[in-house]
Amino acid sequence: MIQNFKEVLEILDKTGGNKYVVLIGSWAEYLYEECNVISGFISNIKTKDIDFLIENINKPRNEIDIIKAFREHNFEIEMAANEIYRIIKGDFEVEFLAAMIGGVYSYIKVPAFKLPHVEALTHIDMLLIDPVEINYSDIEIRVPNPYIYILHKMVINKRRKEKKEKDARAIANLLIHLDNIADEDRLMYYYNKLSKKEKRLIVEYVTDNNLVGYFPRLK
Amino acid sequence: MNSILRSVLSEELERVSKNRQVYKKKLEAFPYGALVTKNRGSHFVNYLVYRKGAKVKTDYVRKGDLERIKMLISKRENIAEQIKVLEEQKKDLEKSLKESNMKVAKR
Repeated sequence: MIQNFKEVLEILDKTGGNKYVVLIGSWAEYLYEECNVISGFISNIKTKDIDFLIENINKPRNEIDIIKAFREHNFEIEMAANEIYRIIKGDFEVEFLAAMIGGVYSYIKVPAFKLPHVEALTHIDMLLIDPVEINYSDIEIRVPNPYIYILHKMVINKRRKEKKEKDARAIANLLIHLDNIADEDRLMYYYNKLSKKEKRLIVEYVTDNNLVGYFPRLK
Repeated sequence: MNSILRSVLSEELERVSKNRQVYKKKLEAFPYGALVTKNRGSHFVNYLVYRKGAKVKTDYVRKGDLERIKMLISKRENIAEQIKVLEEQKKDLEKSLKESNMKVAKR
């Protein structure tokens, strides 16, 4: 599993694509542990999906043929009816995502990566606020900063359906390791950067899950 | 296939056990007990009531410390809840691992 993950990062590194994406999802948590982003943190179980968030669909200006790069490394490439590529190796899948623009289209074209469509999600742009740049196996990759990662998981929790509980465990696991006053300040600092709707969703989540201890100044 | 499953289960069991230990260690840093408010005639006074061995201890809580202690107790409750979740996960994983090992032994 780890080998597949490293291979994916190496491919991105070779194309230069790693500079234009942020690794999100459970593999970002794995790097929080592995690269000591959060001291003493032990990540939850890793999924078979590696998700990357594209920062800007038009960058870099010199297009990267990401599908070609994965194909050259014997990844299976499939295209779904919605023109979203599936990049697969064994039971491992690489997925590219982007922020929804204007809250209308759930798919978006990514010219910079020569992708006809990637899934576009609301609130995911939160994860682009102050990402952390880390070096893993000599590859530079960015992951969301842990405070924003927690807040994002709270915001999207209601729509996560069967993944709700898994996400709740991830939030609790992260918060337990970020429990000093400086962490409370950072959580509030990033909370204040969010939209009214996002703030409301966070307050609801914190209240429903009895997490007020970690957000003493939340109103 | 079975060996892959066992290796995944073992890895997960190790992670859960490690996390459980880390959480238990974290728990030690938080105050034990419950906050109790008593009416003392003209005013209310807060106490932290907890058990120390066989004795029940009552510590006076200053007004200025009340919010902080409330938050710490809330955090402690949250960690204790997560430990319970991890203990359940540990039990399930140990059971699955045992079943998987028995299947191998039967062959």
